[in-house]
Amino acid sequence: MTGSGWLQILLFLACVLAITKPLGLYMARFFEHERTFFDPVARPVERLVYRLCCVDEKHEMRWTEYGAAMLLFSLVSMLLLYLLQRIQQFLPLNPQHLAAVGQELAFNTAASFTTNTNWQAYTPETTMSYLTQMVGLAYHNFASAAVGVSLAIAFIRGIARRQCKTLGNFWVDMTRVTLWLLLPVSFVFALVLVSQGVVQNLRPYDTARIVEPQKAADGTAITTQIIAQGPVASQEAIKMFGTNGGGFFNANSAHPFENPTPLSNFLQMLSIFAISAGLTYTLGRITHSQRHGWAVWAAMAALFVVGVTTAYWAESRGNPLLHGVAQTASAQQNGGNMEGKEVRFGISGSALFATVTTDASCGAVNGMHDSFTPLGGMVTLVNIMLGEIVFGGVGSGLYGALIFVVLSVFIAGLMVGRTPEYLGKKIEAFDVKMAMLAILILPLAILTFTAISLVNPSFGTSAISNPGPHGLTQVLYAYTSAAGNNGSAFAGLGANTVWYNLTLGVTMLIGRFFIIVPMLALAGNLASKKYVPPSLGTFPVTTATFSMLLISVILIVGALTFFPALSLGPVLEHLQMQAGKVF
Amino acid sequence: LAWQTCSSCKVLPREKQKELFWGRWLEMRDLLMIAFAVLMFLLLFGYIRGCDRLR
Repeated sequence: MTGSGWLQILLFLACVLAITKPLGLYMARFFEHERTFFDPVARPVERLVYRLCCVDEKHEMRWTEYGAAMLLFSLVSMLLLYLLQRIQQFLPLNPQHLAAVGQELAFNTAASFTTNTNWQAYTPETTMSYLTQMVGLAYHNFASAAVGVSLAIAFIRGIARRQCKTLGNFWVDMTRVTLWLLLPVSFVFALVLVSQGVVQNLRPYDTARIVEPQKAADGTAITTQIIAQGPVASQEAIKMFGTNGGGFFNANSAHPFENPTPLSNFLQMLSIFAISAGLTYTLGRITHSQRHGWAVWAAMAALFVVGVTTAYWAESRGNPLLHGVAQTASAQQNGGNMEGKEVRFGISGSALFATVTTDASCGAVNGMHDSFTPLGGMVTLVNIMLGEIVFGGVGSGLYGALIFVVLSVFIAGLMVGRTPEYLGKKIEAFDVKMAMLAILILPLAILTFTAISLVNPSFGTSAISNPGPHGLTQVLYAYTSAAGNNGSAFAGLGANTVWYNLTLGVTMLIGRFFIIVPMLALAGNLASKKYVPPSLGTFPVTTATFSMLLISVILIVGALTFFPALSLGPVLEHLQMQAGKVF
Repeated sequence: LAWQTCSSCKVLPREKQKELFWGRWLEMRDLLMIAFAVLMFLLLFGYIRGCDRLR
């Protein structure tokens, strides 16, 4: 571990803190229809959209209508993406003449991008045409992010409103977050990325003559290299800002055309956390309890620090089984476990990126998680297993955290033997039932499909590239990533098979929508309750004690659920590595 | 390596692509995928109703 590495991590956290208030305030203002500096540009477009789509912006929706609109929107856009992939060879902007995407892969990808997962069981530059990337995938990057933020705002309204049956209008929320936030920020961010060297063109791929000719496995001489091109910067911006994570290239943010410099790396990480951190401030602002927003922020930041410290420590230590290799940091090299990492990012830039991308539901990678040390890799896995509530995905991070908040308040109430309250709302049986439904669906999907895959050599374990505990982790990571709508891959698992494409696709849909429905039900129920003024017995949700309780509940639920699976995977692999055993 | 071994990256002649597409389009597999997705969402609409009634 180096001083500059720690400095980068501290600077990152300071920047996250610095953008939380202005971004959160801005979101609160445009969602509450207050005046913002961007109104003169966005408002006319908004009116046009409503007129074209016959949306009554004054119409308020109950949670059931809000949820149904969201599901209908997601279904239609998922089917459109499926069809687009199946007919891409007849459509323009396909200079490489790429063929139609196979049915199961098209289903998997459609589910993946609709749910903000962006799991990619394919090599983008050799599978998806420019049109599919731009119209299909990039569109979903905006739409799925907008859905996430809209749902978080609906949840916040549920907490803030009193004796009210409605949560807002889904179409209005979607339109507002897209016009006021996602489009303008992505436009500016894409230009910044271009300035760093990210490509943006519609040219056919280049062919370059390589300096040192290579030989393929069959002995054929390789003298040229195809260099993929494309409209990368425009997709890269929303990929990070919308915590989507689906790369334009297979190597994702490790590719020099997607993430060329340490500065672009830093900005990409910052953009992953930006909206989610800002939403904690929005929570405080709309619920009129700014300190509660900061208490949630503090709990998230504490979990982030624990994760990044562990990952950085584990990766800096290197691999004890590599003998005769200098693994200490010096002026000439990064030191530590550099396998699968980019030299331009080093250990700290890679460990930080891996922690951030799995704390949020982003899934972009700038190094191969499969090549991390067992403990470093476990950090990424645990981050997703906890529900990606450490700032988390855009919107999904906040509503996931708020479900844990409800549970924490309930547990605190049980401790003192009185009906729990959350910001003036009594938490009753229905609320806890919905919170538990939302929390339990994640481990149910992950552990069931992982178990089925691991006992079936024909379609499950045959796709694993590493034997032993690392192989188990590969399968566990795939389903965890899918259920958590993260999308990062542990690599090494040949996931482009009928079994994995279908089950991972289903897992993504379960992990997204089967959490959203009870979450909306909870929000709708909270909105309908009357306000109860705080009394001496009320557990305050604005203090450090509350933040500690929230962290404890998140960790205990996560540990109780996933520890057996983790002990068979990364924990066992770590112990075996220390004992000198290789597989 | 991925470039050379990826199964979905074969560039077929346009006519062959067309033939493959139209021959396959109305096959059961495509309909199954679409029906499966619709079924999942119908289940979710039912889930909304179920949660609402639970209250």
